[in-house]
Amino acid sequence: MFRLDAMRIVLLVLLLAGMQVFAMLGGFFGQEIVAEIAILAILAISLDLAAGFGGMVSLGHGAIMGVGAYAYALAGQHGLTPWPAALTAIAASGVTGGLIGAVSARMQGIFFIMATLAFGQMIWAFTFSARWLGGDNGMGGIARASLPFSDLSQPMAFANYALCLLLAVFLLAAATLSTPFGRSYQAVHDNAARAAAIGLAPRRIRITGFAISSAIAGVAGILAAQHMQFISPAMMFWTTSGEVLVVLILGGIGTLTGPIVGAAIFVTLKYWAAGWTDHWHLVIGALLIAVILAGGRGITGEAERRLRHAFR
Amino acid sequence: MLSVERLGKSFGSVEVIRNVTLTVNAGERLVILGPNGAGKTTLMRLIAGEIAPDTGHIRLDGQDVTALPPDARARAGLGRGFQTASLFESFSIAENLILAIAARMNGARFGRDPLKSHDLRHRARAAARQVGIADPDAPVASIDHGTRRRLDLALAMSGGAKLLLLDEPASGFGPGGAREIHDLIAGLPKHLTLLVIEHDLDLAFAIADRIVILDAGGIAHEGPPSTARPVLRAIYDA
Ligand SMILES: Nc1ncnc2c1ncn2[C@@H]1O[C@H](COP(=O)(O)OP(=O)(O)OP(=O)(O)O)[C@@H](O)[C@H]1O
Ligand SMILES: [Mg+2]
Repeated sequence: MFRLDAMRIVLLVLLLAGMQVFAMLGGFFGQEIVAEIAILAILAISLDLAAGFGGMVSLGHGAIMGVGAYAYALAGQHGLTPWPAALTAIAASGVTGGLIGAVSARMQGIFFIMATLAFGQMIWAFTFSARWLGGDNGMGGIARASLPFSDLSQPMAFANYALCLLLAVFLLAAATLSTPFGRSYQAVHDNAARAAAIGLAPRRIRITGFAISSAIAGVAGILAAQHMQFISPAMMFWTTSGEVLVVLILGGIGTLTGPIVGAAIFVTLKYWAAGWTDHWHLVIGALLIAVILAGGRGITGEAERRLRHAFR
Repeated sequence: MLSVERLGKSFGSVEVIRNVTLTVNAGERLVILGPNGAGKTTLMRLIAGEIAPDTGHIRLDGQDVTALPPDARARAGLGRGFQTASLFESFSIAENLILAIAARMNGARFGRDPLKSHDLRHRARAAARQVGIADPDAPVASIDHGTRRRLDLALAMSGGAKLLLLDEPASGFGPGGAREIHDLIAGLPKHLTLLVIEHDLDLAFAIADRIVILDAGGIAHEGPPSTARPVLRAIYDA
């Protein structure tokens, strides 16, 4: 059950401040990395909502993020300015997630995973072969958002903007989990039979939760599209979803701060290890195995557990 | 209040509930007795909507609920206690009760955190006290078997349920605890309708207005407690 306790707030502030400093001192490269971390962290938070708090492990979140990215690009092509285009894209991802959820919400465990994998791959295949979406070449010329006080074509400004979105998404997710709906959603995950017996509708609640998670994946998609100003079907391939799942488990599933930790480690390690080995996946793999052997709570989950013990 | 008409249910080729017809009047306390495997729990699951019958109908307050899912029946006033306590394991006792009270009040809306509501917390504590739970702030993961059973009972009663389905509420308590639970059930407000499965005859007789004996999926006897003993003797001695 989610609690936004002092430990999590402190960790959140430290992470955001750390990334901000990293962006300031790291030059163009550092700023790009921070933007990339923020995008991955938003997607991982979205997956945490579905998998960590709803028990719905999804291998379709890459595709759902892609729906947001493509919807944003399309809306822009059709003359919408960035902010209305972003709202359209969030809605598109949310509706996609709602539809996938409506079909899959009754399924449990591996069957749910396979259903989301299938839907994700269908979305990828459709996009890949759709001429009007640029096929495998993707779409370019995508506009970044405009702000009155800041020029987002500047990498530092964009990194800050990405961090602000990450903070907003985190707070939104935390707030959602603390509403009557969010508590019911976690109760359904905990014990669906008991939840139904007290009058909660498990299927409807799971679908709603998956749709909310998907809408947040859409935010990650929009931010990714604005960052690269180019999108391709590659982001929709299931391996993207697999990577986010790795990030989530690494950082700590069901914590909401874990996704940020996981994303920061994942992206940093990717660039750092890529400097001296072609097999950076091995490094991530070894870390993942260590995390799972240590109980599967992830880096954040494990740290929280130890701190709680220490302060008791 | 509740009527069950010609209900039938098979698992594979095994007919577990055979043509059961049963009525429970408002305010009545009906106890279902029967040997192991008689189909008592299955009947209760059918009434709660957890499984669908092959044949027959279930009516609640005159409304046909046969096609309704368990959550809709719960909202219609049905409270469910399980044979093995069914709890929200990652929440505290009070939070379990808050969830149950809030669920029937306003469902799953967007608004203020119910776990932080003073009013709900107050009501949860009262509900815990009612079933004899001393420390409502204990996490469920840490409580003993008896407290689990008490919380399961409290969850069944919470949020204004009118008809309680209790599946062996006193099982696993030991004699003293079982008596306490039955005193508690016997002392529930009279407007509550009770459908209780019980194994222990003495305990059953302590609360029942009427007794139904289920044997091999069918109703073997139905009537006031005084008429049940000879039938039970015949079944258990056979
Ligand atoms: N889901 C199921 N699938 C197959 N068989 C089942 C299922 N549920 C119950 N049964 C069988 O149906 C019969 C009745 O079971 P039920 O649990 O209703 O009995 P009961 O009267 O509650 O027994 P007890 O007093 O032991 O709790 C048993 O033979 C049981 O094995
Ligand atoms: Mg039983």
